[in-house]
Amino acid sequence: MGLSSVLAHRWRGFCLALGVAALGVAALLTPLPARAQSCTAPAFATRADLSTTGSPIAVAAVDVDRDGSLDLRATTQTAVMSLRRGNGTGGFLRRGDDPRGGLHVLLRGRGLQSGRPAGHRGGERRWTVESSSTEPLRRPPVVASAPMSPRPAKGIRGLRGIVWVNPRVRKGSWPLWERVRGGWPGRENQAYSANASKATSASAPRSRPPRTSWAWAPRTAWCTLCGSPSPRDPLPSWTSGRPGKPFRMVVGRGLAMPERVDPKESTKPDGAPGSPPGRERYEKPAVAWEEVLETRPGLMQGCAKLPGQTGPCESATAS
Amino acid sequence: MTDAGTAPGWLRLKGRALALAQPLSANLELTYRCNWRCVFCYNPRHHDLRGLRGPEWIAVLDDLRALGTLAVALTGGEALTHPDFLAIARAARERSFALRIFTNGSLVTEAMADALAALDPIGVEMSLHGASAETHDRTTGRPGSFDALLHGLERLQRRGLPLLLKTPLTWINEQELDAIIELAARLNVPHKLDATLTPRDDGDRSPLEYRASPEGVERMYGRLAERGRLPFTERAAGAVNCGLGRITVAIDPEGNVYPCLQWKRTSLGNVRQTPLRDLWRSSPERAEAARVALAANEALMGMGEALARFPFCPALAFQRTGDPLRPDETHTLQAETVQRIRDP
Amino acid sequence: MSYRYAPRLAWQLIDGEAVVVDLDRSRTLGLNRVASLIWSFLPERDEATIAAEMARRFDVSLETATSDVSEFLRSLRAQGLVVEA
Repeated sequence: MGLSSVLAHRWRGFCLALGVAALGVAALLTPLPARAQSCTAPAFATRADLSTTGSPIAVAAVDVDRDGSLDLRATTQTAVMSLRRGNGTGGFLRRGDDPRGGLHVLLRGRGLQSGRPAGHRGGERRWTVESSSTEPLRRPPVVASAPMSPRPAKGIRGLRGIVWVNPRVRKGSWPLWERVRGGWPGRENQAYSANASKATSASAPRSRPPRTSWAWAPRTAWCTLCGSPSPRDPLPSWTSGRPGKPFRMVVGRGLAMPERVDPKESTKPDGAPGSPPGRERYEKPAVAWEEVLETRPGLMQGCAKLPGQTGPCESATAS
Repeated sequence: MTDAGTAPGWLRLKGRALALAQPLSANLELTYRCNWRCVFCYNPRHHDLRGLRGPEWIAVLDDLRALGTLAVALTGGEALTHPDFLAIARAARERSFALRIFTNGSLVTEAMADALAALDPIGVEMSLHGASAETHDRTTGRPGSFDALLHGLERLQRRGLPLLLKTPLTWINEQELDAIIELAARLNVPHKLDATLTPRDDGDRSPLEYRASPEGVERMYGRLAERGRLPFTERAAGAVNCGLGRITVAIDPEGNVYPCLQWKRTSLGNVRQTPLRDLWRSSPERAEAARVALAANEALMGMGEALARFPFCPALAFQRTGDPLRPDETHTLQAETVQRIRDP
Repeated sequence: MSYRYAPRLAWQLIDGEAVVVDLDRSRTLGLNRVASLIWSFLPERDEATIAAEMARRFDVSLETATSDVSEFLRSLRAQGLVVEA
């Protein structure tokens, strides 16, 4: 299994991002449930894959270099963030890497067009927002990280997948967000709101979608690009910009790329998300394969089978 | 580790797990405590002043579930000495993990055997250090340990649990090699031999003084060859040497997380400070370990047929040579021995 | 009808596909994607709810989904992989 296949995951959210890019920055930065008042229908370019420097965790479409074109920035499991500068016509310029990675969340929103990385690093106790330059990096930056103030409540420690930032947050002021919605592993489909201006209270949502609602996108999925889920709809959805017409993206595992991007739209008269657009191809449920279970004694025994048993050496439960 | 291919089956899914860095297998060292004192033990101490309690281990299990772990092994020290062992084991089964238990067998009373049977483990692995009480007890430092092991084994066997006996070959027991093999066969329990000893986790190399002689190692591989069980690894360019940093994770009694049980050079962090799932996903150390697994495959492929075809552990290499890509003389000798036996 | 997992199992999802370790019959099984989704819905959802969700997520009619889900769960029960809740 080569390095490229192991460490460089493909970025299937590209087509969604392109569609979003076509809507313009304003729609992107509008809080959800957002309803752009007038907008052309999104047009999607040919779906393509983009690689990142490591397994992606969070991705945001932001105008990093403030040239009016949306860029894509992704945090990864490495210490490097990946950056793809948009060319404004649905394509991308050269890929850049930002060594300020290691954080989980990308903030975006009005006043935060930089797509600043935020979150906490493994082993640390504080939330950090990088306050360095928003310019594309051509050399290692001088990074100043500062703890958030007031410090988020313990209840949202480990929070990831911030899906939007309330534009009522004053530009350049702290706290950086007033309202955050997301989840963290084990409670991926629960939305929590944190009001940092009240000195760190976090409250659980009234409705709690069942865990298994994530099963189609596997259990550990979390949002990359997403919007406000309806209490009745546990899947993340994205408002296209047309009033009351969300389309949905189902994300894959946090350690892999999104498994599906659904550009189709659906609507209900009341504007709430309707039935899922673009359903997946169906196959009759069945057992796909079956193998004999055997315990393999261990690596140093080589391809050793237990006496009297046959079958492949690589059993499901081998250590 | 070769390409898993695309045909439906376990190997393909394992390949996906490798690509996704999904830790399918977790080794939980529940405790440093042990009622034996094996002369070559890798544990640096035998107390748990800062050990994780049951609820903490269960929280770890929750995180492992979320990370996609399928199989959990409970080990130690002696796992059964942890006061919350059964609660942890039950929690593992309640979370649909496949459960392995590593134990010296001496604490398996009738009641414990009943409890273990109720857990439905996929394997209970015990250590056999000699064919006689004298040899076994000399290794464990505990008179009566041989008899206690056999009694525990019998209780488990009577209940139909899947068992495995493991014998580390040392200069103490190498003269009883054939008798040990015969004993395992007589007991009708699958048996594993291994000539690998490791330094203690704190770096103390004194366990290595108990290594078997080259002649003993050769005899061991001869016996394995007779049974068609010579170790063999097939390597392909671009493949990984092992699941290090990708599909294995280990946690020591104090909550330090490692990308595998042997890779103790750097931890990913401690679960008391950061949830395991965060440590695994965001750890540059894990990514580095994964790169080592990749680099090790490439390195071994370039070291000649004997080494290329012999299973290699970068963690052990690092402990012995300071370089995870460089096997030490002992490893090289074993690889050449196996090659000589395989292709006389 | 509601089902739950049989007791002597272990299982996990890998890239959306369920792998089930059947300790009773000493075998390992893999489920296709639709089956994996159904499997992951147990035991919190009953047959009807699962079928409705299949019809919502996949390009299949509710009638077919209901029939297929029922048939699949019956087959799992026959194989000792699930029991009635």
